[in-house]
Amino acid sequence: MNSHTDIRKLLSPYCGGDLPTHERSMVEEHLKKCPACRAILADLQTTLHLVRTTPEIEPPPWMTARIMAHVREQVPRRRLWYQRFFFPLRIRIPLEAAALLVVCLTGYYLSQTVETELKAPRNLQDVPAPAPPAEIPRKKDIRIKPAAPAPEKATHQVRDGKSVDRPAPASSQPPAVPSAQAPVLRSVTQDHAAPATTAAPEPARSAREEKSGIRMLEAAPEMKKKSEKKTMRQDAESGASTPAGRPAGADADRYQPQLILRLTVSDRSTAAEAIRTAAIRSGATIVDDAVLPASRIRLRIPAARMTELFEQIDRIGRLADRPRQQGSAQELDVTIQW
Amino acid sequence: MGADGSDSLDDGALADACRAGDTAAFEKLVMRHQRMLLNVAFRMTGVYEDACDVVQDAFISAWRKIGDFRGESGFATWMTAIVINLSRNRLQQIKQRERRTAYSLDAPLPGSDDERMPDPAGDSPSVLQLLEEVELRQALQRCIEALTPEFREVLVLRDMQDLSYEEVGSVLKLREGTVKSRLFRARDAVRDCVRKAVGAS
Repeated sequence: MNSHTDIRKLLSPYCGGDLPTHERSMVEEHLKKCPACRAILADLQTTLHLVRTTPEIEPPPWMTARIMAHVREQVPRRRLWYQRFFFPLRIRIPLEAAALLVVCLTGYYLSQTVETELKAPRNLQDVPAPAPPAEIPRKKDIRIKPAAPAPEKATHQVRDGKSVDRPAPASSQPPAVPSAQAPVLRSVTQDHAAPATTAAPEPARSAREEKSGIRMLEAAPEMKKKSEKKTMRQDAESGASTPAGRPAGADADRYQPQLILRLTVSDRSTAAEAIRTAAIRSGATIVDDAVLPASRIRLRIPAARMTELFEQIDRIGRLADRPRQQGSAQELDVTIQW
Repeated sequence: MGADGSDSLDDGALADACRAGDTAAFEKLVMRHQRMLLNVAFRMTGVYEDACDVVQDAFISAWRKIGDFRGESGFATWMTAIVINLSRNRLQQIKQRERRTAYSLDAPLPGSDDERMPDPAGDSPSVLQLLEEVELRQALQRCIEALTPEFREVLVLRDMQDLSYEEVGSVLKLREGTVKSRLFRARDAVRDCVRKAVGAS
């Protein structure tokens, strides 16, 4: 016979309908004779009924929306190929750093290139070479950039701040705008202006240049502004040694093309006399050798004797650059600096 | 079921759509199962706000892990397992919270006059029966909450949510025999608890 304890263990599955048939009939047999176990079964059935009929709670109305809002946040957005490429930080940051470096290096390179271009020597034949004025400090001259455009073939004279137009002998040349940077602005001869005093049997262009040169001889120091990029490029290509935008010589006549030679000498004290002698031996006419503060001599020499001049100068010092002689000018305006 | 064709899809088809990134399909699943899951969470945690958080976290977690759902068990069973796990964690947090508030300076001292006691029964029989019903349910809830989680889980899932033994075993990763054993012991414990609570009142 089953004890109350054994039967009571079966009451819970019994009231849930989980007993096999033979155990169920055995429990029912016992229950008929045992009011205590019937009371326990009644309690169990009441409890189970309460559990099974527990009222359900309702979700709050915002629940679905809140869940879906979170879910949609997690949906990966489709990225374009470059976005996927740049998305991982481990790739993006080095790329940005490299790009910054490239920008910096490019900027540095450009600045160096422009500086070189500004200092580039000018062409022997085609480009007017301004000589530095005696009155204007050198460092100021070098920094002047060819920003303010001046009319091509302009002859313009300003003396003590007053602008006076002087008609060009060989060409009608519009006046240039006086530069605020130049306190004393004088003759500006652009591009194809050439000396003409020697009356060489050259084309009209040479004559014009020479005539302009004569007038420049009379002129006071000037601040010359280069206006054309074309000229700048020619400067860079020519291999000559005059910085662009350099102020023109104050009291020297201008021969086109002009040639500036930079000479490195060991003894500066005796160099002036040696160069002067060498120039005279080469058949040159000294135009000006008293320009201060630079050590320079300006001379005029027949183009055919340039080779001889180079030979003479080579004995005195080392020539920084020996520009090729171009064009057909018979007489050259040469400035030797050391 | 609504007029929308996707409403008639079963959970497996909707879950397949979710794997393809279809949030609308997932929304259908949320609407379909959130009530049942909230009840499970509420019976497990005993706190409505915590139950809502559990269900919300469970669905978000399910969306992340939808690739893991292979359909061997039903989506509801899979979700229920997630809710049960999160409920266990939440229960621990609730216990810690209650431990802290037990020593709160703002809370009334235990046994003091401020502590709210159950209202005594009135003389009217109908009111008494009503109160008995309410008290019985309150006692039942307290008794269910008094169960340890492993017994509470089987009682909630089997007797409240009417899951089969197999489903309960799948959710809890238990053998069917273990589920039954725990269930019967849980019923006996609740019966004992409720009888004592009613007898005391």
